[in-house]
Amino acid sequence: MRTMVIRMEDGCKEECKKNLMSLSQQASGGMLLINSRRAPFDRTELMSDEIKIAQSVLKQESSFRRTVVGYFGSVLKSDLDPSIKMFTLIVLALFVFISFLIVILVLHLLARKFGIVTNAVPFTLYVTILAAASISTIGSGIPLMMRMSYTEHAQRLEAGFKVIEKKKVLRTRGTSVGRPTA
Amino acid sequence: MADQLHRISFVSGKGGVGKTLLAVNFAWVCAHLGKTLLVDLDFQNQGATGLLSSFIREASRGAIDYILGSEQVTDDAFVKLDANLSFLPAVPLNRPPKHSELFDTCQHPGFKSELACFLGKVGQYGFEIVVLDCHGGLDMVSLASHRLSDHTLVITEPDRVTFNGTLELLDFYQSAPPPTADSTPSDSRCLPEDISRPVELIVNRIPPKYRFADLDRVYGSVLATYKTRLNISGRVLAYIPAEEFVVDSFGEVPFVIPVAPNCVAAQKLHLLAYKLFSDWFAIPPKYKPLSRFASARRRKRVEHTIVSAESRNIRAIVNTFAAISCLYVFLFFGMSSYALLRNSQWEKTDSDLLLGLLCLFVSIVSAVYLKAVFGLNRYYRDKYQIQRNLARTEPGEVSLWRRLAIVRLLLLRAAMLVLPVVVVATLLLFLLITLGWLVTRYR
Repeated sequence: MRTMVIRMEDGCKEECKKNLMSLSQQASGGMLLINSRRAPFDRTELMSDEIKIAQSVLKQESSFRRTVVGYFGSVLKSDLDPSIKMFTLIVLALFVFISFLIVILVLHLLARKFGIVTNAVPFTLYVTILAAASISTIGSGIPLMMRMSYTEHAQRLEAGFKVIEKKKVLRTRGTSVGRPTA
Repeated sequence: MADQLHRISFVSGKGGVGKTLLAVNFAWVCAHLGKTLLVDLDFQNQGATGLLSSFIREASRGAIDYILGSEQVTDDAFVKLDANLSFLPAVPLNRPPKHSELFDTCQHPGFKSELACFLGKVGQYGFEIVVLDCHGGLDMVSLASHRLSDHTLVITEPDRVTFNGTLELLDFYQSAPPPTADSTPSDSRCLPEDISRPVELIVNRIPPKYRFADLDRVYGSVLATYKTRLNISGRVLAYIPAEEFVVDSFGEVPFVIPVAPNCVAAQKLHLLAYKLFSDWFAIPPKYKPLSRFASARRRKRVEHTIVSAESRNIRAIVNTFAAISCLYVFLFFGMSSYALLRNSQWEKTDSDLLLGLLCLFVSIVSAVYLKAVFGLNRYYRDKYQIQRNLARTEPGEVSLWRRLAIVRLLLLRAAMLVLPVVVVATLLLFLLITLGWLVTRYR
């Protein structure tokens, strides 16, 4: 029979205790001993911040890739880079506009093909507006994609730096992570 | 002219961040301002000594002899690299010390006072600037250099591994014990140790995925936490991008700047020298790479540049590709519509307007294309310049590979010079023919 001993701080949250208990139940044929002792400060609290940062980065990544709608929502709420919000709104508005134009244009072409409309607005006017809207979308989309990429990388870098800074805080308080005090 | 010895230390929390490259080239820039001495204090790796080994005589002594040994500093102690630039290798080439001895040097508790006295003596030989290239990591040499330098430049890279080392180094500087009466040398010529020497951060080898504003914000928040404990600036002193031009020439030649004068790193190092020494030295007006920084606009522009030429070109090519794709989509759409409506209700003005629109599109795409071509033209010009300079420095006959590389770059340069002419001529021809056709039609 294998025995696992885990030290737990007094300040450990209930959730942490529950998780450890469930872990002990899952360990087939094993026994888990939880050794609780008094700690100089609540290290688990700080560790949870670290995990939160890592989780937020992962969450951002998956939500960005999973759904465009989620992206638009998060960007419009975020105040990190106002230019991203602006470009997103422009691209979004242009997409709606282009969709509308394409529908009108197709209807117009069909009407002219079958002679329903003969004296309508010139076809080229539609094409011009559509072309201008397409160019504007690409013109706004490229800087938007670039800014998004920059912001994403900067956020990852910042999150990584924060994790390291947290570890420094833990160490300068007198004890290192994983090394129990006497 | 400066009336005192200015000392600049290049340190880092970990090795391999480009410290030696920056220190050696910074010394080269400083030599345009005053008599400069580059000292290799990296006793473990001896990077600068290896890089500049072709200049070092067999009988040359090393810094270890003058700082910790009994050797007296004399005028011929230094290796002459240029008219205004001298070098002191870490160890003597003909009598390299044992590894244990080198290790002891780095942890020697009396190193600070010995270095203080050595730097005090260096000033007597007319040197105005001393650049100290230290070992990457936490040792007594790094601490001594920091406490005896006017500016300590901590080289780092934008990644977690290097950041961890950088914070370790800053913590080390902050927690190291202050000087005591016993550790202070009694000789008045020796430099005083000071725990409040300014520390500056330089972020090197920045990949093109970052933007200046983002990095400035991220590092600004980090530095703010150290501001109360160290005499550290709230902003990073320089952001230097990862560059192909530097990689091309580094290791082959000691000084990158004369080989690749237009690279971003060269501009950044000149700006660094301008920032640190413009209050102390008269900037030579004939030396344009330094004198042009008299313009605040120019300083700001170079300071904010963190993208290398090759990355800029890649972006320009992507933009051109997008513009040309857009043109093709438009052509396809226009031609399909024309084919569809040709025999039915097609109006005369429609085809003319469509043609006009096509002219506008072609003009826009040509402008984007020309921008990319001009960027590539500059890029190949610089690459050609690097290869040509490297060929000049090669001892003996130039290798076949180098000759082929030069010919290839010459051809590319020629192509990039001819292409804009061809593009502009084609565009003008197309516009003229279209205009002529329309005029004939309406007449």
